[in-house]
Amino acid sequence: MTTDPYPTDPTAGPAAGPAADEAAGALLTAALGTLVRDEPPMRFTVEDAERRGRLLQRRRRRTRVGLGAGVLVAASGAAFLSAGAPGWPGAQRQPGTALGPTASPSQSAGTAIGDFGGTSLPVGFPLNEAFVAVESALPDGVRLGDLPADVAWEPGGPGYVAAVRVPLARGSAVSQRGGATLRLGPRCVLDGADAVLDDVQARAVADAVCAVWTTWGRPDPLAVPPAPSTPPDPAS
Amino acid sequence: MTPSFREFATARRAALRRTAYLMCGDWHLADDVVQDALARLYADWPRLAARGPVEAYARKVVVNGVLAHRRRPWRREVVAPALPDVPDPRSGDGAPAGADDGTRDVLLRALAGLGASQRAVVVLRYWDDLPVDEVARVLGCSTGNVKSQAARGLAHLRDALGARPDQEVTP
Repeated sequence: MTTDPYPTDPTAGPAAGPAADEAAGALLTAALGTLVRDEPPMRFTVEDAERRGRLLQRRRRRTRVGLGAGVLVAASGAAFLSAGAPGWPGAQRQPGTALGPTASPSQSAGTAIGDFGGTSLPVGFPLNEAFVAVESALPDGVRLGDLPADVAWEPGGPGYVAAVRVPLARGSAVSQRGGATLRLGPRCVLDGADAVLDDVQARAVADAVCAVWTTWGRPDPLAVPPAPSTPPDPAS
Repeated sequence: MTPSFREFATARRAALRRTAYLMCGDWHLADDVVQDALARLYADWPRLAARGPVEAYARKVVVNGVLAHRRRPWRREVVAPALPDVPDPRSGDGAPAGADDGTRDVLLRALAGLGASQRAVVVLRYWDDLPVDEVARVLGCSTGNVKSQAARGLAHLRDALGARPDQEVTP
């Protein structure tokens, strides 16, 4: 049988031990009391503690926001790298090589890959990039018309990667329905803009879009990334 | 009913400060530690108050604050070539009112001779009068450890005060 060397229960230890400890403890309590008898006035108030508590709350909130932003940036970076940055060899795709279903009409700004906590990264060539390039290259007096709700990249036809309809307007007059068609390919072209642009202006617009497309690595706008569950192809 | 932070802080800050002082022997540091602990309590008050009585948590934050402060490198005690001046208990110089018999200094020195965690055990056990298991919970150690530390601390203080016949701790 083992004996607790430091019993607290009077029935558990030697008869004199607990009683002696209790008395010594009581004396020690009284002795400690002498140390705090001449207590100086407190240097802080409850309001001071509350103020510091509020500062602490604010600092914690800022830290949480900073950490959240860091996680978001890290997730975006990881997704960006896994998708293949524009200009990387992995991001180059052969024109006309479809990797999956084509973009749905409801996709107005290219396709998106994954959803990493609410952030979607574009893949391919976003429509808004093309329209910004078109708008910046238009001559004075010509502007982009209202974009239809179902605007989207479409197959570009023989020799071209993709095409999109570009409504153009001169002054207050809007071009006929459909407007011009911008085609991406070895050499970009803007067809059907005769009513509002001459050949040189149309050429300039097409080249402007082509230049932006090239900075993106000339990806296939119709390309859709494989589903996340798709295993990688060992052959590639 | 759970008190508001203000009610709790007003009622308990003096007691927490005394506990901190007995652990560190410095009223200024005790003030800092308790204010820091109360600020943390304020920041987490809704969550803490919903969980139940806050007293034990507050005491734990204070104790950890003192122990953490003593662990900081710039706080470590260094060996001095000469002993610091010690007030002569018979002269009354430097001795606060009500402690002119020197008991206070002897006790302070005896407490200072204990290790930080042993001092925490002694203060929580004999000053705050906490049961062994509660002290173990506050310090995050076993009840056996608390009992042994308390017994050794008590023996050390008994020896220190035993040198003074008028303050014999042993019954």
